[in-house]
Amino acid sequence: MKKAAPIKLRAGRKQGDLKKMLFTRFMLIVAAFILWIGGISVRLVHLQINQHELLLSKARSQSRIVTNTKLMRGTIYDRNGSVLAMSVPVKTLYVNPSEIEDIPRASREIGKAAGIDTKQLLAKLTEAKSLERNYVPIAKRVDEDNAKRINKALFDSEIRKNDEPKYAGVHWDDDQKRSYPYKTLAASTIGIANAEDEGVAGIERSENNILQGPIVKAIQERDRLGRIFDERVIEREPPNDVYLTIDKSAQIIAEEALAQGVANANARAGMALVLDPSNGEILALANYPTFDPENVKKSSTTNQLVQEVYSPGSVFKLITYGAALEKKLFKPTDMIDAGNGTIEVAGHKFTDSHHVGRVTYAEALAHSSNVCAIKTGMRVGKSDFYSMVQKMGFGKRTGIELPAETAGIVHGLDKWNGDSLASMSIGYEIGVTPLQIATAFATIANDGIKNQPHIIKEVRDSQGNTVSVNEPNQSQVVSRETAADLRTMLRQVVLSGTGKRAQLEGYTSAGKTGTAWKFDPNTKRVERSKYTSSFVGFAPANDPKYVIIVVMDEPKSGARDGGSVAAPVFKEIAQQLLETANVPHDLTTSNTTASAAEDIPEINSNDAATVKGPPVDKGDKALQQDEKSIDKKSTAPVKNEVKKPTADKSVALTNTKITAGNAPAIWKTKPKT
Amino acid sequence: MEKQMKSNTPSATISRPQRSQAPSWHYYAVAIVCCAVLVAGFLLAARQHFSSMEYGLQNSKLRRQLDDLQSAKRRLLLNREVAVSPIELRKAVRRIGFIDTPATQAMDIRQPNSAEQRSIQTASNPLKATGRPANNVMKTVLSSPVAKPATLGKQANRETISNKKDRT
Repeated sequence: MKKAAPIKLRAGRKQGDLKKMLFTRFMLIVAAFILWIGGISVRLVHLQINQHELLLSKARSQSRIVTNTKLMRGTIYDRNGSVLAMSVPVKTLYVNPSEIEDIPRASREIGKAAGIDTKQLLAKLTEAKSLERNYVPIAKRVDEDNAKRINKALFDSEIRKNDEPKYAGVHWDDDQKRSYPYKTLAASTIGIANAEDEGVAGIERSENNILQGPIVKAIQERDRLGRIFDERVIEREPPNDVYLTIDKSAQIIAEEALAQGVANANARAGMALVLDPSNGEILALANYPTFDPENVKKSSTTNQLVQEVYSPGSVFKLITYGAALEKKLFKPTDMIDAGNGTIEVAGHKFTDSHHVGRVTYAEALAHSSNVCAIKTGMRVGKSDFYSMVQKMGFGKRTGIELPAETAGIVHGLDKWNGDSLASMSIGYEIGVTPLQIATAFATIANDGIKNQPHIIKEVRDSQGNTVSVNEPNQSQVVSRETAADLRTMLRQVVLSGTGKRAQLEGYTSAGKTGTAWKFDPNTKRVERSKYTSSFVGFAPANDPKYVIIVVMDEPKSGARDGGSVAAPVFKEIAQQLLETANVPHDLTTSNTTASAAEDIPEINSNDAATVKGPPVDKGDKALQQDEKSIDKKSTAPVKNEVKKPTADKSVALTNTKITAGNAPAIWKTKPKT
Repeated sequence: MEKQMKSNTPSATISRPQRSQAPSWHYYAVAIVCCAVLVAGFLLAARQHFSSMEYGLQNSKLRRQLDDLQSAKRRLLLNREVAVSPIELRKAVRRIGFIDTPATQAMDIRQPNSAEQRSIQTASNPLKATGRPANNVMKTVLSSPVAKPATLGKQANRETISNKKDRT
C-alpha cells in the first residue's frame, strides 16, 4: 500500500506537467499567431495609412487611365445647311523611343508601314532616344483608312498593349483637321482656323467662342487585358454650329461673275456683295483674288469688303440727292442747270466730264454730273449733309459679325475745309467700305428702312436645336417718299445714263456707277492713273430682291469706268440670281429689247483726235500726259487724306464741239462717273 | 448507514440531465441555410460584378462605336459636299465630254476703241448694227470660276496689244 502512493503521485505530477506543457505550447502558438497577426496589422496600417496615397496612385496608374479629348470644332453652314467648314477626326502617329529596344529594326518596319523614309526616321529616333524624348511625331493628320492600314501593317501578335497599333513604342494621338469642302468659295468670309483650333480669320475668328471645342476628360478603368470596363466622362457642352446667311449658289454665281469681270478688266482685285434689302442678310460676299483655306501660305486673308476703305466717287451722289430730297428741296423732275460744266468752290474747280446743260435732277444723276451734285450738296448745307451721311451709317461700323471691320473715314464738321462739302457731294474726301455703300442702297431699296447687315443667321447646338437667331436692328433713315424718288432717279441711271450695261433681260434694275481715283497714302495724293470703279444697284427696280455692289480695283484693260467694268458683272449676278430664285419677270420682252437696243453712245470719229481713246490703250503714261492738260488748279495737291475729284481729263473735252449726234461716250471721256 | 445516508442525499444522487451527444438536425439545417444564403450572396455579388464588368466593356465598345460612327458621318457629309462642289462638278462635266469655255471668250466687255474699229465690228456682226450692246455677258455655269492669273494676264495683254495694233 505504501508503494502505491508514490506511483499515484508521479502519475498526477506527470499529468499536471503535460497539461502545463500543452498549455505553454498552445500559448506559444497563440503568441506566434498574435505576433504574426500583429506584424501583418502593423504592415497593413503602414500600407493603408502611411503609404496610402503612394499605393493608391500606383494602383490607379495601373488600371485607370485619364484621357483628355478635344471635342470637334463646330461646323459652319450656309443658309440652306450646306457645309462650308467642318472638322474631321484625324490621328497623329508618334513613337516613344524609350519603349523600343531595337531602333534600326523598328525604324525599318515603321517606315515601311507609314511610308516614311527609313533613314530619316532612324536618325530621328536615334537622336530622340539619346535625348530621352518620349514623343516623336512621325505622321500627322492621318485619316481613318490610312490609320487602319498602318495598324494592320504594324501588328505584332507577341505585343501585349492596350492601344493600337500592336507594336512596341508606337502610338496614335487623336487630333482633328479643319476641312473646307468648297475650297476657295467664300474663303474670306469663312476664314481659317489654325492647327490649335483657334480661328485666325473670318467667321472662324469672330465666332471662335461658339465654334471652339472644349476638352473633355474621361476616366477609364481597364482590366488586365487593357479593356475598358468602366468609364466616367466629365461631360462638357459640345460646341455650337453657326448658320450663315450666305447662300452657296449665290456665292458661286457672284464669285464666278467677279472672277470673269476682273479678268476682262485686268483689274488688280475685285469685290462683290449681294444683300437682301428686306432684312439685311448678306447672301454672297466675294473677294477676288481669293485663297484656299487649307493651303493659305502667303495669300492675304483680308476681306476687302469690310476691312478696306475706298473713295466711292459718284455712287455717293445718292447721299447728296437723298439729303436734298429729304429736305424737299426739289423733285426729280425739277430742272437744274449745270452751266458750262464747271463750278469753283473755295478756290477749287470741279468740272463735268461732258456738258449736260439744263436737265432734270434725275437726268443729272443719270449722267453723273459733278456740277449738279455739288450744287445740290451746297443747297443741302454742311450740317444736314453730314447728318445724312451719319444716318446712312458712314463713319461707323455696320456691326457685321466679321473681324476687323473698319468704320471708314468721315471727318467731323470741325475738320471740314471750304471745299469739303463739294468734294463729299461727289464721293471724295470720304472713305467708305463697299458694305457701307451697299447698306445705304439697301436702305433706299427698302423704303428708307435701314436693316443692320448681318451674316450670321442663327446658332444651333450639336443636336440641331436653335440656340439664338439673329434679329437685326431696323430704323427708318429717310422717308418712304424720298426713297421712292431716289429709286426712280437710280432707275434712270440704268435706263439712259452711265449704267446702261446693268440692264437686265426681263427684269428692271436700278443703280449708280462710280469711278474714283485711288488715293495714294504715300504721296498723300490721288493717283490719276489708278481707279476704283464700281456699280451699286438693285433689282427688280420696283420690288428689290437683291442689292448688289461690284467694285473693281485698278482696272487696266479697256474702259475703266464703273459702267463698263462693274455694271456687266452686276448684270451677270443679278440676272442669274433672279432667274434662279424664280422671281417673275417685270419687264416684257419687247421692253427688254428696246432698252437693250439703246447702246451706250460711241465716240464719233471726229472726236477721236481730241478724246484720244480710253486710257488703257495708251497706258498710264499717256493718261497722265492727258491729265497734264487739265486745269492746273484741278491737279493741285489735295489737302486731306481722301480727296479731290476736282477736274479730270474731261476738261480737255470742253473745247470739243458737242452736238446731239456726236455726244462723247461717257465711259471714254469721263474717268469718274 | 451514515455513509448510505450520505450517499442517498438528493444532491449526490440527482445527476445533471444528460445532453444528447449527436446535435439536433435543426442546427444542421440552420447552418446549411445560412451557408447557402452566404454562398448565394457571394455568387450573386460575383455574378453582378462580372455582369457589370461585361456591361462596362460593352458600354465602352458602344461608346467607341458611337464615336466612330459620328466620325464616319462627318467624313461622309464632308465627302458629299466635296462631291457637289463646283470644282468636282466641273471635273465630272469635263469627264463626260463638255468643254470649258475660257472666261475671256465668254465675256468681252471692251468697247471698240475708235470709230473705224466700230465700223469693222458693225460690218462683221450685224447684231452691232442694231445697236445691241457688245458686252453680252455669257453664262458662267460651265466657265472656269477662277481663271489662272498668269494665263489671264497674258490673254489680257494679248488683247491690249491687238487693240493697239488696230488703233494704229
